[in-house]
Amino acid sequence: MTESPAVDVQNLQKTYRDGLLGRRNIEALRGVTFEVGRGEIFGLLGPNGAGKTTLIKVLLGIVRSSGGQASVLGRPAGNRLGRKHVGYLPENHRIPRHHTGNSALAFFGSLSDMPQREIRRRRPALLAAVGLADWGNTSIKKYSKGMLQRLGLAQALLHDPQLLMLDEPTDGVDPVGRSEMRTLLQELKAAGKTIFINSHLLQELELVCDRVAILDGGKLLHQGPISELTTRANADVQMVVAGSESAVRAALSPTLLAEVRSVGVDQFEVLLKTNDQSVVDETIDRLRRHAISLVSMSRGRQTLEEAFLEILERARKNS
Amino acid sequence: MRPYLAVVRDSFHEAFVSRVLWILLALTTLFLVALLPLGIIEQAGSALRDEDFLNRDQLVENIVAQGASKQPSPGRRIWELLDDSNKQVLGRKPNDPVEKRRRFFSLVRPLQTMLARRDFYRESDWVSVKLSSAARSLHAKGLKNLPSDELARFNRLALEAAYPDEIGPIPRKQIQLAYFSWELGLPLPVEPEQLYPAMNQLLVITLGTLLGVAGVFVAVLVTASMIPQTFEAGSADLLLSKPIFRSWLFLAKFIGGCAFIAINAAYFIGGLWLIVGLRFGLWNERLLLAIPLYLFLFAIYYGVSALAGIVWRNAIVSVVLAVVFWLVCWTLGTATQLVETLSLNPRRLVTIVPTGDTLIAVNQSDLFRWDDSDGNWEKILVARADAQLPFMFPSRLAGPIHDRSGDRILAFKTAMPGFSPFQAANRLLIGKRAEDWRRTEGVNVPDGAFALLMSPQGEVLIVSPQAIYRLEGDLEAKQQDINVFGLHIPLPEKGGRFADVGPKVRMRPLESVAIDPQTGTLALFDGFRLALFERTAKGAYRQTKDQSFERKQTGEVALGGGQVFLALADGQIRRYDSNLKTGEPVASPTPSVPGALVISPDARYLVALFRSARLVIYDLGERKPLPLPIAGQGEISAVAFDGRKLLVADRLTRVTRYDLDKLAIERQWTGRMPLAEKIYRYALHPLYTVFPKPSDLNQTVTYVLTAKDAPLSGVRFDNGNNNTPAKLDVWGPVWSNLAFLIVVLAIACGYIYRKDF
Repeated sequence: MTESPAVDVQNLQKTYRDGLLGRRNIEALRGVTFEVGRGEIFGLLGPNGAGKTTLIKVLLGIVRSSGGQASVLGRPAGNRLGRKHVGYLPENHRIPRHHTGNSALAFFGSLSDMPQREIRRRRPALLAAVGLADWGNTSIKKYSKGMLQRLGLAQALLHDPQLLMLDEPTDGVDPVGRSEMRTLLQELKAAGKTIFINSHLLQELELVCDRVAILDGGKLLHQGPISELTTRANADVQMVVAGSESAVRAALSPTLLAEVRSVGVDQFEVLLKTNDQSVVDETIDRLRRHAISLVSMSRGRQTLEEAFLEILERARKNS
Repeated sequence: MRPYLAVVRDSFHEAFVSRVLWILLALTTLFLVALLPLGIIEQAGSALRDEDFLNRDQLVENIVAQGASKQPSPGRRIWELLDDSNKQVLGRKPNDPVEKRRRFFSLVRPLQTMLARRDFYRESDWVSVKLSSAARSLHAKGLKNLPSDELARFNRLALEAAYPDEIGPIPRKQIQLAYFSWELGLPLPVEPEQLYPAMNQLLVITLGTLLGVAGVFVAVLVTASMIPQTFEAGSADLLLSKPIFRSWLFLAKFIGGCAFIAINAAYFIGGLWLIVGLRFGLWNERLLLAIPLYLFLFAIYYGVSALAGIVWRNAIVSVVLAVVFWLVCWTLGTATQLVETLSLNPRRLVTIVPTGDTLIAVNQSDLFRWDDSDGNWEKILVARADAQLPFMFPSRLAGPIHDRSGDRILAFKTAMPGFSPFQAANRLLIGKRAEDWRRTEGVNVPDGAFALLMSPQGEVLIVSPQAIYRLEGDLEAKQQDINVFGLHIPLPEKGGRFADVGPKVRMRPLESVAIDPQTGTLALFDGFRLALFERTAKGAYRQTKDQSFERKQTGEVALGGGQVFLALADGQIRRYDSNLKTGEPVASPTPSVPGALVISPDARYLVALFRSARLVIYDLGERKPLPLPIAGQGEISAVAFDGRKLLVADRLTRVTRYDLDKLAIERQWTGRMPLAEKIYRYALHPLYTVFPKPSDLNQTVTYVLTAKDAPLSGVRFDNGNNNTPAKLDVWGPVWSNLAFLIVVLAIACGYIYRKDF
């Protein structure tokens, strides 16, 4: 029997009612479908109001869906027993101010039905893992925003969940903390945990995620591995060649859209603006015929941000 | 359950971390510490209290007379110690009740001061007086050596020995209220235990004010933010992502909020209980029951606040809505009570007088006859010029009785007990059938008259705490009087009069009086003493038996068939034979304070009407309650026998006649409903019934603390007693409020279940 995906979303819809007597409808999710496999780190991207947080809340049962289906760890989304194996760090979470780090973990651990003994056993290592080893007995009134975020992550991890849902986890965390958090996430992945991250910080996602999905206006625009998104077939081809400038320019077809830039003595960078591989092959042949050496060649990569913006722009143009 | 217990525990944690809790606890501590020095000091009994004066006029007259005489006497000694201004007032002989009152107090006030004097008692003045053994033993110690409280006691004993018919005996001890060593006010001539009912009442008022109003308001303010904060964005997401039920989370948080208040209420009431126990010796563990009751009261308001907190997730809205809810409850409760007090209760029939084919009934102030042609009650005994002084003391109607010989109704108005022992000259009110029950006035009623009775021999009797009077001569012979500023001052009597036909009764203000419908024997009960007065062949009365009680009792007496029945506040009905020997008690299934005790003319049935406005009929022959279903239980206000028929008044003006042989209703008289009653019955009362009644929980607290039904608005019973039948459902407010709380919490749970956070 194959193991069910960690998250399975099929044609998920959510419509909020607003205004007087709920006469105004706001469609937050419009038939979203995707899967998150067990053990992967999955990133959900999207501009503000795309429906990312709504999607997570539907998965956790905090918000009810208006249509479609969703399951988490093989149980219907929102199922109470399913939530037992999910750790959640909400965006702008608020831990009651009367707690210390330790008492907050004791409280949230009890809410996950953990015995106090178990909480006490796991607490020190966890606080150390999120960088709060010395802050357990301090009132959280004295915590900075980043520290609160770390404590939030600790409470999400306390009951050793199979699936971790993180909504803007690095919000307010300093670069060192982000790096530590990335390391922690990789360790968790290595331990077989599934991680579902919802973030605006695309660079962070690019560094840790296996796969991402892009959501805009409640619609899923794209999903796939990061490499697939950043390595595009229609990207420019970049070559570094050695030879005289006149020979290089003569070898390149005047009709070919190419840019030549000197990068050293008799060394030039050639940028071919084509996605036709036969043109690339023919250009290499022509360069060789003119006794020009090919030092290196690569197809250009996009950053995740560039890919994200491009997809978003294309989708908006189409709509 | 672990997650939900964690939520409750977290509320405790929040409470303990909160400054507000410690501020409240500190304020409570300050209050309790300030209360701690308050206590009572037991002293030898020496006070002269109002009810100790058995015959005020006679006491004044005796002292004035002895003061004028040259013979040494206690009165002469007292006269010597009086100052001239008091002597001047005492020298007058006024008829005006206000002046009489002034004259009496110009003697009593200095007398109270004299009791502290070491030279008050002079042996030569008390030569003809036999001192009691208690006084003699104090005297034997030497008056110079006696501590001040024992000296005052000796003087008091000497005084009562000198005037045994005018001044009642003093208890052995009295108590003095003190704060540290400062004495507050005058000593109270009671045992500490006798003070406890009053203290319980004081506790009810204190708790009602401090906890019921101020405490609950502060508690709602303090806790209003707890639920909105739990369900605000960021916090709710975190909590609801855990494997818990939303509704249970809400309920656990609600219980947590209550726990916060429970700590404060327990500390306050527990502290009060300790202080009252340690300083006053009143260990009333029932006081601790007020903790859950006040917590419940808070829970009702908190329920509303929590519901608002869930919907709007804003602490200010929560507080405002809780206050608005309190205002609505208060307005509805006050409006209902006002309509009941001002419009309905005055109309409630409190006496039924069967007069052959005409049914006569009385409400708080007026008499009515049933008019068959109109199908309604018609006011009778109305004089053409029924002038009253604008500011009269509250009065009650004694009687009425039906005088068969003249086919007329007799009654008189008398002051409500506690308002004025002196009454304006009072006339007997007469209404004859032949004159269509028009009101005429007859002879004067003796001072202090309490009850108007008709003997089986057809004599009209009046009973007062001092004497038994019988009407002699023409009762309609109106005495002449002069009118001074609206007050009728009678001139010497001519024609009929009420003649003293008994011994000196010497009783305290009467609680209840009854007459044997066969023999005419009278039973008088003043709370301390039950006395029987037998009618002699010549129609005079003599005291035959007497039974004393250690402490003052509230009760009703009835007699018939050679037996005396006494219903006391514990709900038990005691049975005595004609020698006042205790017999088997009458089974009493209703443990409530009795309001009236009526016996059938053939002494077969005894009816007890309790303050809960419920009625029980006992078959004295079968020695068990009569299985007759009575309509309007809980709203019954009067009961009377008409032969073997029982007349019962309920629902304000409805009278039902029961045939006790057939055990069935024979006839019902239902008066028309005025507009105010229609509004009350069809709008106000249903709304009031459906709406919660948090303020009514004070009744429950009163009941819990004192184990007594608290009297409500002023209605009296037909045997002349001023006791109040209280339509009181002690646990009703608890159930109705509990139902409301459950509905509010259910709505909140339903809302939270459906809500997207």
